[in-house]
Amino acid sequence: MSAAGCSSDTNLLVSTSSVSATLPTPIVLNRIVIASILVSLLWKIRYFLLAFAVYFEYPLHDEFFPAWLSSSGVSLAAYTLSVAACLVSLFSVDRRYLMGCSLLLTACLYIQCIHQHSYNDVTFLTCFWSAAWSFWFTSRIGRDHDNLLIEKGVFISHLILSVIFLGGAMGKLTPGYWSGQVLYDIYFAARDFWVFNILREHFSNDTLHAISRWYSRFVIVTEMGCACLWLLPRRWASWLAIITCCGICLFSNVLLLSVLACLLGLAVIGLHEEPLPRQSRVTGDALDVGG
Amino acid sequence: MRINQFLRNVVQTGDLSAATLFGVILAIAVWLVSLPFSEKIQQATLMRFHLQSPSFLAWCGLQVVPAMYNLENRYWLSERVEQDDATRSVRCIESGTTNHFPTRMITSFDARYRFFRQLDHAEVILESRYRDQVLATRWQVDKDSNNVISARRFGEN
Repeated sequence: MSAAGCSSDTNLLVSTSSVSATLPTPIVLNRIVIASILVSLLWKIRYFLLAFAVYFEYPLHDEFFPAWLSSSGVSLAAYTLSVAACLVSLFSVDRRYLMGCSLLLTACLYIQCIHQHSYNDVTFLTCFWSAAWSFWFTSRIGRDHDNLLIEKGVFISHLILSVIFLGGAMGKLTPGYWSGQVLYDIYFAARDFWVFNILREHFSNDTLHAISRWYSRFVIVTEMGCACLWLLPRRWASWLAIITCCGICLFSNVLLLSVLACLLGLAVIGLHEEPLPRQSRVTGDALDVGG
Repeated sequence: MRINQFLRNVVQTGDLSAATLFGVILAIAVWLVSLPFSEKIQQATLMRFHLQSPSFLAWCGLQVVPAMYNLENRYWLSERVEQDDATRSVRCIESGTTNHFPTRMITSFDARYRFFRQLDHAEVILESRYRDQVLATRWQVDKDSNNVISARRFGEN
């Protein structure tokens, strides 16, 4: 393994960066993920702004959350810093800045995951995992060869996608989901969305229950399948994840794009064309990618 | 890249951060796969959804476990009317199903806006179910003259 030998040269490439013409591929892939996190964070910006106004107007005290994790100021700061970290990361090529931004992003998103205002919003959970990926990935830029880093990055991104879908599938293995009753209550009964509006227009209540039953089972089976993404060839895995995420948005709820955009970012990096030639771009050393 | 290639590379390059990330993901996957079979994990998940984990730190640890549209979660929200003779009556305002974290019917901004903007005193019953495990909690929610809302759990059903 010649990774150590290329380390300083790659750092030079990244940090001095006459990057405008040809950005190193790892930087591009990291930008894709960061941009997708930014889309996730901004997709419901109107919702978040309204939420912050309500939180400031009607603060809630409870015994469970520490005071600082009920504070509207902390929540607003964490959200703002997350967006700022994404923006800086998108325009930076210095590994230290990229790592710092990703670390800040991961920390802020974790705070959102445990904050009274946002613990229930899966947007922050999926963004947190994408940010954690970015932190690990940027920490290896210049330490691993590009090829190796990209291959490991894609593998870990598929692992993350798999475990997120696994979480969805396992929590639904209960009679309420298998019978379709839960999704009937949430979506089919009254949700104002084009699919459910059309179904309500054309089918009786009994038929809607039958449709919701098979819809719910299809969701469980699909999530089970996507929990195995890490076992598939990488492009197949990425396409399956992309199709599934887009399908969820188009057929369930467009607002879910805030949850799914960052997952789409993780999936897209697996579509990256064939790895670079198995020669270090920087040193020309032969590259061992471990078989 | 296959898992054996990944692990070999992690060892060869001494990539501790990848090993840590992999380890955390693996632990979460084991936890999730065990959910249908382990009563303890089911109970921990139910308590997580009701903000009743044994400690806040334990709950924080579980918050990185993906749980989209998990469990069967229902809520009943009632207005609570305190009467002079120390009795109280409740009037159900809304009931329904939520996708996850039924406590969002108390803490989320739309619950605060839709319900507690107008109600001074409310009672909320939350129920989550996973296979044979059920957890129901009752909450008393009060708003003072400064619009500060306080939520207190006062028993299980």
